Amino acid sequence: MNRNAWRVLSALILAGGLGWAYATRPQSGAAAPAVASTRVGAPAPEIALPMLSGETRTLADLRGQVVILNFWATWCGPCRAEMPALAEIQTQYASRGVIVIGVNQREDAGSIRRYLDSIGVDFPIALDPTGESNRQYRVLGLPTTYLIDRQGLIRDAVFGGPMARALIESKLAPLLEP
Amino acid sequence: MQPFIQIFGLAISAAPAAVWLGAVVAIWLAGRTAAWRGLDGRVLGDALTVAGFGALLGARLGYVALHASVYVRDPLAALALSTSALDGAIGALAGVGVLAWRLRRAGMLRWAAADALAPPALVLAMGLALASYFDGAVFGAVAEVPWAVAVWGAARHPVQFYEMAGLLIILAAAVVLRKRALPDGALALGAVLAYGLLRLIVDGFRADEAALLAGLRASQIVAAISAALAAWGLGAADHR
Repeated sequence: MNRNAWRVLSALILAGGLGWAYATRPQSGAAAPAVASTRVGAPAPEIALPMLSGETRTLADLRGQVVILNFWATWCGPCRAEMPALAEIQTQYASRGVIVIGVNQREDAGSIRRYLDSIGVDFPIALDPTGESNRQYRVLGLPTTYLIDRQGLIRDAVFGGPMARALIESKLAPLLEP
Repeated sequence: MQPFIQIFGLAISAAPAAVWLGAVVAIWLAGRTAAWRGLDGRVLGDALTVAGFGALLGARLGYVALHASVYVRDPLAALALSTSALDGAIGALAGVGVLAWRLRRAGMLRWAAADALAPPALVLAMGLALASYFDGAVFGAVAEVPWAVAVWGAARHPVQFYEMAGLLIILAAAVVLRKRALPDGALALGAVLAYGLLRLIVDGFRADEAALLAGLRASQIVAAISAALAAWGLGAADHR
């Protein structure tokens, strides 16, 4: 091809490409299905959490707060390693409407209490004896952490660990902005 | 979506593993494609390896810099083994910069090297597409085609698999064309042109909340401009 033919082709690609981009442009409102899922940007799946302290909490009860939902188990090394950082976050940010909830995976309340007492962690711990929360949140490995905003939307997820406190704070910061 | 594996207590999610796999195969391939243009495969492979580490370091430093207010209180957290504290865009820029620096040092910063790097770049793009599928952030529009995949509660266009299939075709074309007496840069520019067109088409089937520019997907605008510039460059290369 001669040079002019290449130039014409280049112009056609640009014009045709922008035309295709216009024809397939995102339609407002069509991009974000409102069904609950673990996708970032979607409403967090609703779950009822039987707490270690005895009461039952639902995510709907926590609407208006920033929720850090941390799936963990006492036998999981990275989970244990990030517990102190999560406890510090709970202490420091509780006054700004942040709540950390550790959802334990299928362990008995006695052994969880013994472990928590041994490390002096006191943020709310939920039980998941049937693995229902695990299934709803597609927890395929531990630890898994979801950050849920004040409107109940999943805004970030961290798979694996241990999370450093700085990492949690970096993920939390955008959710605390007014 | 989002499966991850634990190795010796270190949690590795599937998405970063796919990028790593793509990078390893790309580096291996660079050692072989260098011969297509009479270059030293070991030097090119080494340059790509260093660029990979540069990208990783850049991604971490970029993330730390963007969140400096929290990392300044705990600087050692910047060394944490976590793939969650990486900034992909800054990492990519750092990787390209380090690659250019290494090639320049080796006297290989020329179009022939770009040709040799085109197939490895296509393989890396496959790894990124696979990572994007695992990550689940990018997903296709709802579809009733037989090959639709279940993503986020609906049958959708498997956009990442469209992209990977397209990349395989481009790679095969590059392998076929390698023995032709093409001008330096033609293979690289051809790959950019083909990949630009591929992304332009495939991104039209996406349904996720992408970055927009004047109401259009920014990725499609970049793809159209890249493809057009590559076509322009091919014309120039043809008449050098």
